[in-house]
Amino acid sequence: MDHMITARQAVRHAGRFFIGGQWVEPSSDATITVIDSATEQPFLEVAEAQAADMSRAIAAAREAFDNGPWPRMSHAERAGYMRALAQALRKRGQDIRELWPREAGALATLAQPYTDRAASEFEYYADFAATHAFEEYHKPTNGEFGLLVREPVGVVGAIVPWNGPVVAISHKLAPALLCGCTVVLKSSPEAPGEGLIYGEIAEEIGLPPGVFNVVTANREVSEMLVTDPRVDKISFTGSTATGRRIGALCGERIARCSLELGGKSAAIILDDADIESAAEALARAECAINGQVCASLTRIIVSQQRHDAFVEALTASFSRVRVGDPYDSSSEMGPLATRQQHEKVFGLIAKGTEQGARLVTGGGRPHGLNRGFYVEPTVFASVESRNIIAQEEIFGPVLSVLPARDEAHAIDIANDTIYGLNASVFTPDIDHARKVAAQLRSGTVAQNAFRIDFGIAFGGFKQSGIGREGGTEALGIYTEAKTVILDGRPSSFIA
Amino acid sequence: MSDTIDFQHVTPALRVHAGTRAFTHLPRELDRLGSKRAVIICGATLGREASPLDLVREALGGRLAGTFSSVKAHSPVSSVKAAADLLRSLKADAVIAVGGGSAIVTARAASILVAEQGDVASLATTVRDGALTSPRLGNPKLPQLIVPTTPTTAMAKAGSALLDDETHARLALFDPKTRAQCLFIHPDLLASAPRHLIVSASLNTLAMSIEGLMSSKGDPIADGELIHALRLCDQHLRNDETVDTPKARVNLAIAALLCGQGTDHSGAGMTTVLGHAIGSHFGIENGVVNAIVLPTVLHFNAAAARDGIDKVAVALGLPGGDVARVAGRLRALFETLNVPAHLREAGVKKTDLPDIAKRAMGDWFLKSNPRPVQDEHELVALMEDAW
Repeated sequence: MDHMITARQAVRHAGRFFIGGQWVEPSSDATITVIDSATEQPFLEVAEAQAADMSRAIAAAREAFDNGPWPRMSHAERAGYMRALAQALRKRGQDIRELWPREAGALATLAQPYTDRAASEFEYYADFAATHAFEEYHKPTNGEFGLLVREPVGVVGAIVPWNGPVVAISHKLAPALLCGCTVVLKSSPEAPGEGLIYGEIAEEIGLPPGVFNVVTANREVSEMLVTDPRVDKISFTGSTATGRRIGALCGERIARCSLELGGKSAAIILDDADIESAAEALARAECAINGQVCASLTRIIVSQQRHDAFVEALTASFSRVRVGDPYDSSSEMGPLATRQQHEKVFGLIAKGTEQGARLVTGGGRPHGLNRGFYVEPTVFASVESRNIIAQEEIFGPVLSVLPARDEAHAIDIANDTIYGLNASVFTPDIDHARKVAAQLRSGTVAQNAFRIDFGIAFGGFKQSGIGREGGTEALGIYTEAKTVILDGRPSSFIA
Repeated sequence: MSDTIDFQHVTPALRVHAGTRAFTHLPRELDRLGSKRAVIICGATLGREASPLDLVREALGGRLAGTFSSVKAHSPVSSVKAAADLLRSLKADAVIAVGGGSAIVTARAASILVAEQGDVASLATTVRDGALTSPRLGNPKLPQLIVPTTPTTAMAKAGSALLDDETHARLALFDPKTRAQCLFIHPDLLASAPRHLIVSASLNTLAMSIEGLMSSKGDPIADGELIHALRLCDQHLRNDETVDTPKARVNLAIAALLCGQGTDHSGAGMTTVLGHAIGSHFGIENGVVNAIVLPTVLHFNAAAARDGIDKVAVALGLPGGDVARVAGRLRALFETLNVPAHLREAGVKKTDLPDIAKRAMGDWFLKSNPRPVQDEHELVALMEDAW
C-alpha cells in the first residue's frame, strides 16, 4: 500500500480528467487499476474515460481551436508557454521516477534524464518560432505575390503508448503546440501517470483552457477520438496492429494521421567489424526499457563463418546483464510492463524454439525473481528469417542472430520484414556503411551503434508507420499547407 | 504433507481398438457381449447413404438390428425418448453410438430410459445439502459401444447431460453401467468432422486436462493420464498444417479418452465453469471459451496450485513451473489456432459479465476450483481481465 501512497502523491488528480483547463469529475465511477510491474500489485487507480468524457475533452479542444486565443497567437508567444512548460516539467523528474518504473519496468535512474530530454524537446521546438519559416514567399504563375502558409492542422488526438510516456508525449505535444494546434491526449491504461502530470503542468503555467486535455481510456472509447469529426488529426504511437485499425478509421473520413508503429530492426555486422564491440553495443542497447522499445535492434545479421563467434560474444555480454528491481541502483534491466507482455514474450520464445531457432541463453524467468514480469536476457542463434521470432516484434529482451551468406544476402535478410523503423551497420568503414544504408528500407540507419535522433527525424518505412516525428519533419505533420495568391505583398509578411 | 502416497484408483474395464483395422474386431466384441441385435445411434448426416457409417454397417452385417439417426445437438429429452422407443421396439441387445458427444450421451441416456421406470426428472442427479445426489439406477443396461467422430471426453464418461426441451434446463443422469465397454477409434470416422469441431473439442480436452492437473483432488495414475492427454493435444494442435491429418485426429481422440478417464479421479475448475456459463448462451464452442479464459484462470489459481502448474509445465515441455511461461506458451498455441484472444472478440459484451458470473456461481464444479471464489464480483473482475 506504500506504493499507492507515493503514486498518489506523484499524481494529484488521478480521479479526474484535465479538460478545458480544469480537473473535471468523470461521468462515471469507472476506474483503471495500474499494476506495478515488479510486484504485480496495484499501485495507482485512475479515472477511466467513458464516451461522455471523451466527447467533453474533444469539445474543449475544438472550442479552444475555433474560438480560443491559442491558434491566433504568434509562434513566439506560444514558444513562451512552451519554455515555461519545459521548466516545470524538469522539476517533475522525481514524480516520473515514482511512476515510470512501476508502469513499464524502466530503471528508476532513467527517470530524470528522460524527463530532461522531454523538457528539452519543448525548448527545441520553441526555438523554431524564431527560425522556421511558417510563411514562405513563392513567385506565383498568375498574380503578384504568392505565399505558402503552414497553418495549424487543428485539433490533434494524440495517442501514446506505455513504454516511455514522458517522451512519447513530448514528441507529439511540443511540435503540435508550436504549430498552434490544440490537443486531446489519450494516455495508455497501463501508464496513465505521465499524462496527468503534463495536465498539472498545463494548469500550473496557465496554458489557455482547452489547448491541452488529458484522458485515460480503453480501446472502445479511444476509437471515438479517432472517429470523431471534430478531431482533425490523429498522431498515434503504438503497435502496428492498432496502427492498421487507426489508419483505416482515419481513412474513412480522410482525417490526417501519423503513425509511429512497431519494428523488427536489423543490425548488420559486416565482416570487417569488431565482433566483441558490436556484441557489447547491441547487448547494452537492448537493456533500454528492457527491450520494450520499437526501434530495438533485435535481428542481428552476421556472416555464416563469423556466426558462432558472434553468438558467443553476444551471449557473454547479454547474459551478464543484471536483471532486478528497477529501483535497485545495481539493476541493469527491470521487468516487462504487464502480465500480457510477459506472457507474449514467453509465448514467442516457445514458438521460436519450435520453429527451429537455437536458444543459447535465457528464455525463462531469472532465478530468484519469482514475482514481477521479469524475463532473462535471451539470445537465439541460427535463426532463419522466416522464423516468427525474426518476423514479429517481441518487445522484450530477446535477440536473434541470423546467419547470412554474404553482404547482399545480409541486406536481403535485413529488408525481409513488414517493418522498416531502424537499422544499424557495424563496420569501421564510413563509406561502406553509407552504401549499405542506402540499400536498407528503414527510417533510421546508424553506424556501429543503436542511434535514433528526434533532432533529425524518426519514423518508419513500410508498416513501421506513416510520417516522421522530431525535427522540422514534425512541423509538417501538425500543419496544413495553404497557398495564398495576392495582388501584392501584404503588410504582415516579414521576409 | 505425508511422505507416503495414499489413494484408491479404480479403472473401469474398457477395450480400445484404434486404427484403420479397428472394425475387424467389432464382431468378436459383440460375441463377447452376447449381442445379436445391435442398434446404431447417430446424427442425420452420418445416417445418410454412402457415409463413413458404411464401414460400421459392413462390419456389423446381420447383427445390425436398426439405426436411430435423429440425434440432436445437446441431446434434448424428446430425442432421447424417441431413441429409447426405437431400442425397445427393435429389442436391441447393444447400443453403438457413432458420433460426437451428443450421440454418445443420447445412447447412454436412452439405455437408462429403456431399463428404468419413471420420467427423466425423477432419474436425474440433484444437489441436496450441498452434495450431488444421484438416484440408484439398479437395473441392468444395454452394453455401450462407441465409435467417436470427434475427440470428445464424453467417450470415457458415465454421465449424460440432457437438455429439457421446454425449460432448457440441464438434466444430468449418472449410471456407471452406461460407461462404454468398447471403443473403436477409426481415422475415417474421425475424418468426417469439420476441422473447427476437432479443434474446439481438443481445446476442451486440453483445458480439462489442465484443470484436472491443477485440482486438489487426483492421484498419480490420473496425473499420468492427464499429462499425456495434455501433451498429445499440445503436440497435435501446435502445427496448424497437421491438425487435419488422420494421425493427428486419432491422437487427439486418444487424448480425449485419457482426459475423460483422468478427470474421473480429479476435479474441474473455473475454466470448465465459464465454458458452461458462456458457451451455450452465446453460441460459442465450449473449447473456445475454455481457451480464452484459461490463461487468466491459471494466474488466478497459480498460488493455490503450484504443484499443478509444475505438472502442466512438464506436459508442455517447459522447465520449472512459472505460470507466466505456461500461460504464454498456451496463448501462443491458441493464437496459432486463430482462437480469439478475448471474450469481446467472441461476441460477449462487457455488460453480459455480471449475468455470466451469476450463472457460474451456481455451477457445481466451481467448488473444486483450487482457489476458492469469494463472490460474483471476483468472477466479474476475472472475466474483465479475459474480456
